[in-house]
Amino acid sequence: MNKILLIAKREFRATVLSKAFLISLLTMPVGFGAAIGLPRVIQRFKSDEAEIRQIVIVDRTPGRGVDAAETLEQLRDQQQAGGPVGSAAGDGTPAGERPAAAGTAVSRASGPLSRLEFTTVRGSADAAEALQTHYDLGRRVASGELAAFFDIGPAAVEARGAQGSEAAAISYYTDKAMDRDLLLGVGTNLLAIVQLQKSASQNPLLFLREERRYRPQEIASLLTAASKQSAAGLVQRELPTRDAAGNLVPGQEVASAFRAILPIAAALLLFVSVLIVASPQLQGVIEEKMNRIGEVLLGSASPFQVLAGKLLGMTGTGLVLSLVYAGGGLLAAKYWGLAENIGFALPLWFVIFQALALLLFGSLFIAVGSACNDMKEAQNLLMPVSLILSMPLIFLPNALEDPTGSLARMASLIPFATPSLMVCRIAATNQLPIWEPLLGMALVIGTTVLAIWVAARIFRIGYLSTGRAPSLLELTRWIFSRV
Amino acid sequence: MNHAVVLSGVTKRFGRKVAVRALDLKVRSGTITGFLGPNGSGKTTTLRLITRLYSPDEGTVEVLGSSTEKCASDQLGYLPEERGLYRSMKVLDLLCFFARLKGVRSPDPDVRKWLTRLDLTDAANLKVEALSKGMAQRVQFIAAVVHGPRLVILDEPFSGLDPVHAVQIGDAIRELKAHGSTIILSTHDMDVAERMCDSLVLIHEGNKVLDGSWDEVRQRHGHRTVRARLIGKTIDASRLPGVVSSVDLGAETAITLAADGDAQQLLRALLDQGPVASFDLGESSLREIFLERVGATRMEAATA
Repeated sequence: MNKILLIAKREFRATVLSKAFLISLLTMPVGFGAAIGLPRVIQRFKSDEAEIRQIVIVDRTPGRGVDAAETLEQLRDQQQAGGPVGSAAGDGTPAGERPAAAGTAVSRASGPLSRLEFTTVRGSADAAEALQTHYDLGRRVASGELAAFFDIGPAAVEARGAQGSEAAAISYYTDKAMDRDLLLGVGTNLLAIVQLQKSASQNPLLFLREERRYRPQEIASLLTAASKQSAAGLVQRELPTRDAAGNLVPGQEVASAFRAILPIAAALLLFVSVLIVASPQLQGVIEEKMNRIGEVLLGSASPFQVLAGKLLGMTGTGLVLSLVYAGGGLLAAKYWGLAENIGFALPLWFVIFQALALLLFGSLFIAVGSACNDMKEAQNLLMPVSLILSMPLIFLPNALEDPTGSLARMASLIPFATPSLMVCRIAATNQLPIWEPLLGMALVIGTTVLAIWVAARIFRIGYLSTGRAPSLLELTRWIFSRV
Repeated sequence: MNHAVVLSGVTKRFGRKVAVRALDLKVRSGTITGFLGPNGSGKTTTLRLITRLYSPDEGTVEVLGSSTEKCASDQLGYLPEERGLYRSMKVLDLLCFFARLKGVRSPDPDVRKWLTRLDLTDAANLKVEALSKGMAQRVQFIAAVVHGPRLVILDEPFSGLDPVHAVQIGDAIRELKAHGSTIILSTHDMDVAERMCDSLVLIHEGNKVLDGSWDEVRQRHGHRTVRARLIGKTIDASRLPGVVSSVDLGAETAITLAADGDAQQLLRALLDQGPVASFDLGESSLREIFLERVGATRMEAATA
């Protein structure tokens, strides 16, 4: 075991500290940075001539409403002025009832609210009337007159408003897949405005004294201080339509971009990490073989120890790579205000299946490398391994579309496809019975043990052999022959 | 006497090709044994059988008293003919890695001692790819011996070395022997084998052609040879008595005498051919024995 760990440590250090690995590791964050930064730079140049976009907020809360448009305009002016507008002091609200950070905010000179104008429309609590309003506004969005409209449900500020119910929701209607300024600038602030009004409405003293809740100016100062940037809780909907009979059809809820991206991102990250790490490992084995390092290593450790050490080192490297990428992705999602609480199950299963995928496919790549003398020879032998590796991609669209369907279930229990597909399904739905990933894991472990055994049999002969690369038939003979 | 290596009836095949054929071999403990043989003779296969890189198809291989595959590889040091070093690793890290792989817990002091001894102190923090061929060879040698192995297998250890460092490595090998290690030295350099080895094994086409101490080999296979030159004439060996063979070396002719050949009679016969410029009587060198035995084996194979 000690020798396995020694070899694993060397492999891990040699790869992780190599320039190629660091470059590949940095490529994605740099790409993300560029993806995030460039549009903002371009926007800065364009901001002067950018058109003003109209936003309508349908306020269906009872009484005087939440002054959302006025508050958002306060926030917008505050951003453009580069500092907080007004002060909450002296407005009659007891100091002890305000967050300590009020009035100490640092604001941005230009923000997502700039170039936006807000109009509040009082909407009916009645669903049918609201639907008509939404339909009319939807037509204005479709025509380009409005950038989007938001709906504050009638129960949104009620103390006992049912969490998660449609009446208590804040909905965002747009015909665009994602508009960061609207999502972060309007949506998240609207959520915070409603939350503050809701908490204020639960305070009898404040309610009695003012007979209304926070003033727009106060809320603007509080929000600037809090700099809330989470869109969790905001429901995005498609624009309402009419069916063939002319009846109005409410807009369907759109999964958040984060939720939509997460399953495919997790599956592809797992797949790509294996490719990124296994290919250099294959090349490394070929080089070691040609440099006769293999002969020295096998003079000190058994073929299985060398193979296991290489596999462990490669698995460690792959995990570092995917965890850095996943962490980078989550940070980027957080920056975009898309990060939601993903819980513990998905990260846990991701690490388990990522490690198993690296061991499973890594053993096959190393076996192929040990049988070849150069990359050209390896390409031919890699063909079947590449086909097996690509198997999950065939079923991925189905797993995304219908993660609990029987085809997705069956496909995700094929061991070579299990890691990517199971992670995809776990990310796509929380309706997955626990026995499915457990069974998948057991099948992958069994297959991995078999793959490592086969790889070790090929490795012990291939690592020392020279001359023409073996055919698949010869490789099969190697598995069952003596050294 | 104890034997560090015992091969009994060992045969190793690769497909249809028989690399080693029914080989019986004993290597005495605490000696330097030279492994000789032309390229492709089965020498490297034999070494790999001893290092357990290969398993025999037939026969048994006993190394340091163990005939199982789990023989203590930590007690074995191996220097392959071609460099087996990680090019991107630093010399010190690389040697410590190989030493740890052989079970040395704190290899740093031993590695540094060897680096100093072989004039590589300044190379400790250099990457292997920055080393000259000779330096890399010395590093490879250290990797083979740093853990104090009981059996050391050296395949062409002097390859690429300048005379000064060749002497250093030669001294180190003798020192290992003095400390009780058994050395198997595979080489094409007959002078080195003649100078350093206590016993010799010649393998050709998978068969053992000769085996024994240098004195035994010379006694069994050696001849008296004469190197002679006539003034202004070429020697006609066919008219000389008691001659087995002759080789025209250009300036002079190497004449091999039969076991009962008389050197004085040969000298008289040469004088009959012309004035003798030089006449040097000596015994067969290892090179001559090697060439003769390999040649004889080829002849036997051709006539079989």
